[in-house]
Amino acid sequence: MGGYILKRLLIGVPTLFIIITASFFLMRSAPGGPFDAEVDLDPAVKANLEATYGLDLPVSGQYVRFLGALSHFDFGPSTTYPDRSVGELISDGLPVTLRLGLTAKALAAALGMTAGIVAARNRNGPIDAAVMGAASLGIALPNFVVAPALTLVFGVYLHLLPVAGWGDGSARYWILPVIALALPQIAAIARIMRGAMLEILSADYVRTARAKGMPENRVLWRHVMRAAFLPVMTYLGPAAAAVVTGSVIVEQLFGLPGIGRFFVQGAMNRDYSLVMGIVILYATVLILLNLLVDIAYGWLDPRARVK
Amino acid sequence: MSASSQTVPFTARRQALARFAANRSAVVGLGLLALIALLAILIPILWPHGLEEAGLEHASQPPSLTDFHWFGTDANGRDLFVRVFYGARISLAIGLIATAIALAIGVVWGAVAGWFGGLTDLLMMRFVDVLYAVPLLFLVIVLVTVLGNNVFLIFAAIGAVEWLTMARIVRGQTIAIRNREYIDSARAVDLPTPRILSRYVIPNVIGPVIVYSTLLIPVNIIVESSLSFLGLGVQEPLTSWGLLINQGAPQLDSAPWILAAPATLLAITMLAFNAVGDGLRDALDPQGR
Repeated sequence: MGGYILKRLLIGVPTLFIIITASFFLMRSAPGGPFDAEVDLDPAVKANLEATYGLDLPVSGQYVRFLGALSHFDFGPSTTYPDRSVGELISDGLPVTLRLGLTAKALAAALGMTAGIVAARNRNGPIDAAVMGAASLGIALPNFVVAPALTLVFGVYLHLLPVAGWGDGSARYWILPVIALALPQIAAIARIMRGAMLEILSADYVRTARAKGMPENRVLWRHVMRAAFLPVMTYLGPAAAAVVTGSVIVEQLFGLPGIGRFFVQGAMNRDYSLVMGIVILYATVLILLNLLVDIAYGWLDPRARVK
Repeated sequence: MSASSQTVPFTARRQALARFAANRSAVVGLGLLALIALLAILIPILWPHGLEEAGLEHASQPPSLTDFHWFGTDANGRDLFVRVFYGARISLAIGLIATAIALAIGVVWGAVAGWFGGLTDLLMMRFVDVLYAVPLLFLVIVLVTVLGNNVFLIFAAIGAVEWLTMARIVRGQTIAIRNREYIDSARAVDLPTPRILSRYVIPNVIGPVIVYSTLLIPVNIIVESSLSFLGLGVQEPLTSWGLLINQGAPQLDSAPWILAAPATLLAITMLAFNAVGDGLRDALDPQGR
């Protein structure tokens, strides 16, 4: 197992390197630079600015410089936020994004699985129909529709929660963003869980367990849930990416100071180092999460265990 | 005569069609999509109000049946009914074209990797793995920044990013049928490889591909809407559902219909595509349930 993890981590390194290189050159091939937005920038001033950030070098030179800095975790200075380094911006924004994303994910897993189990146990009944109808709606409605609607109801009409912002970071400010982020995932997980439960309930080993007189609750917990959790796991790993991309929109909508918002601003302003820093961060997180999913898979399903 | 008419209908294709036709929500979904497509074509041509027909004297007017502002007007007094169906043109077109691009790249990539196997397969699928590690919306944002705000480039950017799962599906299917007898016989008569791929391999992997494509269209519509919502996608004077939602969101408390009109249509479209996709999956793969 240890060897397997090590091997996977070693594969992750070239993967990350390719992503870094590709996005570096992709970003640089974009027309316009970070200092083109200011309309009447004096050419001399612009040249000075570019020299400060090393943008006067040929692209290959910039790439070497970038890799050199990266080797000791220096992502370089941000051009959108002068005087701040990308590392600082990320360490400011990351806690917000993580808190938002992880809370939403936990909520989605808990509610989604419960809903899926309830629906499967009432298969084809009215409860099943209601849960699955709500799930279809949840999948159909994107974040940027759900979020304004939630704000309207709870913020504007009922005055229960703040409309936007992070405020002092207390729970009141992140209830709506978390719900907006979690809803589509609750719906997706409920559907996956229901499908998996139904499939496993008709499996031979479940019939065997019932036939030997095992109490129904024990059948469910011991045999069905464990196996039904696998497809949910497969979904949860890559869905971390959905939390990440979803958080771009939710952060923008609620004006939260997370990295998703930095990313959009960075991309709009050609802030090369900010965009690169965030791409690298997300790619790393994604590679690690996929590894975690595979490890958890082997742990839950002996058939998938790596020899 | 009667004997043959009893056996003919039970081809796989007809059975699948019958299963699909028996699925009520899928049929309703298909009907809704046809209706929305028809309205998207006709409304911008026939409606008494033009797309850019502004008038501040009736700005942000609530829906009313009397003066053909059925969905109300936006902050510039432009009629939302015509704008929503004009937006439908762009949103549906982006969904379809981006999916077609993803389909083309994914099917060829997956079929080639699965067919040749070995090092070719390894390298091609490692490439897919690498791209999988990049959050897709990010890649699209970077691509759109690189390519500029051109609608056709947005089509291409979304399609160029969404083909990965398609490639994996096709590769798996190709490997599964590579050693079947009919492929052996095609090889035995010395058919050239591209012809074996296009004539025998791809048609036999097409079932899951159709299902996945139907489910990819709404995903692509959402990606486009998200981009336009963030201000990185479709730009005025063109419009799309995402852009309309973006313009409606700030006025949600004073004029909720500006958001409600495109959001409702988007939601109905999503539900319909998902119902059709699920119906197709059940029809083409009855064991999959």
